[in-house]
Amino acid sequence: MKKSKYLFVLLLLISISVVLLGGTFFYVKLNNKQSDDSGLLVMTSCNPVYLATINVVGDAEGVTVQNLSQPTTGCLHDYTLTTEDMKNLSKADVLIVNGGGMEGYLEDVVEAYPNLPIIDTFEAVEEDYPVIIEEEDEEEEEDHSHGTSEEHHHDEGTNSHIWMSEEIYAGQVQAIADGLAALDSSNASVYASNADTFVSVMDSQIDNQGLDESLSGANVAVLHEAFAYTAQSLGANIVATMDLDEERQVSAGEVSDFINAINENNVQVVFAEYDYGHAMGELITEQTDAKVVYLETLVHGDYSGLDYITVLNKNYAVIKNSL
Amino acid sequence: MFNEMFSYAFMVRATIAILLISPLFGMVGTMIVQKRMAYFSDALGHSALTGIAAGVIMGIANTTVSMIIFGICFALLLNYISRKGLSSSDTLISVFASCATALGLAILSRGGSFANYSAILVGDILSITSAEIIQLIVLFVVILVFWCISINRLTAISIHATLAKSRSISVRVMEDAFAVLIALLVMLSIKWVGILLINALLILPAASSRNISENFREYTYLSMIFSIFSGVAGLFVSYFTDMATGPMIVIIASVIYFATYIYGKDR
Repeated sequence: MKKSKYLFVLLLLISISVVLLGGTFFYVKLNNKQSDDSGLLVMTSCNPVYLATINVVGDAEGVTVQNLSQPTTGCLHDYTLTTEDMKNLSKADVLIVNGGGMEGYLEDVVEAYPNLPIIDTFEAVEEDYPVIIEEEDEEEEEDHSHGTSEEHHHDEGTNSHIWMSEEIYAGQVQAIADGLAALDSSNASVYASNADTFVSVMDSQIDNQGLDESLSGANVAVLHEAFAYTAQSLGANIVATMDLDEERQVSAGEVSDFINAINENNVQVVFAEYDYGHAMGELITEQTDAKVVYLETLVHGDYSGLDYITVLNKNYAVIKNSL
Repeated sequence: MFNEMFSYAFMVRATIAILLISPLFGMVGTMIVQKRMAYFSDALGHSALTGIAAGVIMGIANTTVSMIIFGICFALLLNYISRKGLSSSDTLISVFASCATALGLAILSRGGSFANYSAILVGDILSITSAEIIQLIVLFVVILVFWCISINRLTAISIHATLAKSRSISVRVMEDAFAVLIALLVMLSIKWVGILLINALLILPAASSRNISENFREYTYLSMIFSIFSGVAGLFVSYFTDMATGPMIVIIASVIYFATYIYGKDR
């Protein structure tokens, strides 16, 4: 009896092992990506940084740009690295990040790969560009004095969604070109000229459709911190902000304050992200005269080439149509 | 294929961590299932959020310390209230667990910042550091020593508490010591396993073993074998398929449970 039981356990574990090994083997065969180990492997942390980097690198010889796997929902703050990411990082020659606390996993990467050079684009632009620093009330400031920095996804109240401002994004592009040139001097001139070309293409092709005049000084509200930079680019005045994501639990008081701010300040338009702002957007449309427009943050999905320009133009067209 | 896997330091550390945590889960899980404490360990897992919240409020930089202290206090409180017998123990545990979880969520979500703590819901074994592995080694030794010293007394209590008392076994002390042990194991491994799955890892291997075991020794050994097998296989599969490790371990442990259930039922 006992013998047959132990035989059953042995057979069970062997069967599971065989199924797992077979399944994994076929999965690896089907998804095997041959990567070129020679040359410079540049990893990027998120879509906006990836788009800037591929435009800076262009067809520079021996340089491969790869993006870490992107979250399909939510924001980058609470994303955890996958095994594939960890494998790629161990082969990478440099990691380019947005910075400013956007990549919550950065401390783990620094700890695991202390010799991996990191180009922090936020650090490079925060002095010379109009980075938004949110006002915090005293109570929140007190909270921030407790706990470690990793517990806060935005450093010291700064809004790290800087790529949404084309002006700051141009600075990020420049910082990436400078950072890569310092690591790979043989392609330094290629990076510099590609960065200049990309910035001038952005200048000529991003069309805000005259919104910088029609919304200049106008009161707007945002349902995602990223759009504070959209408002800034258009010269609009933000009177209310509610940052919504998948884990955000909004209190009734917060909603009524937000709605009151919209009504009292005669807000014309509210910028929101569809996934997390839709339910709140419906409520705002019902309770106020403001129009809610749903814009893209460039964080989710597959982007390539000049998609940065396409998405920004699409966002501006959506705002324009709502007015 | 496997050579490449172990060329990464993060995989070596994750494998060591799995080899340390999984036998403990298998071993302690047997007594949890035996003493019908599944609900108790689940409540402890959820209270981790409150432990972190307490740490944030008190300004403790390392929230693992506040989690452990809160977990131990919470476990002892649950035992104390259950002994008073004012209400059925599952109702009491449910009330306290819900209250603690709500308190933790309310504090951590203040100002919309819960996203900073959401990683603890699913855990991340890949980011374990060498220093944290040393913590797990210490935990491994502590639990092993406690187990060797106390297993007979714990078994006696689980079979018949009054009979154990008549044989000079201090039921109260042993129950409290075991509760503290579960609190330590849950709180020190929750960061790697996640609140949502930790109870599955504690219960599934022991429950699978119970389906086919005939004595306590067999029950413990089989539970440990199932736990280690699920842990190691889950880690390997997650490495090659790029899926989260915790859920993969639980899926494999569940397959073992269903297979042993069918085998045990037909015997």
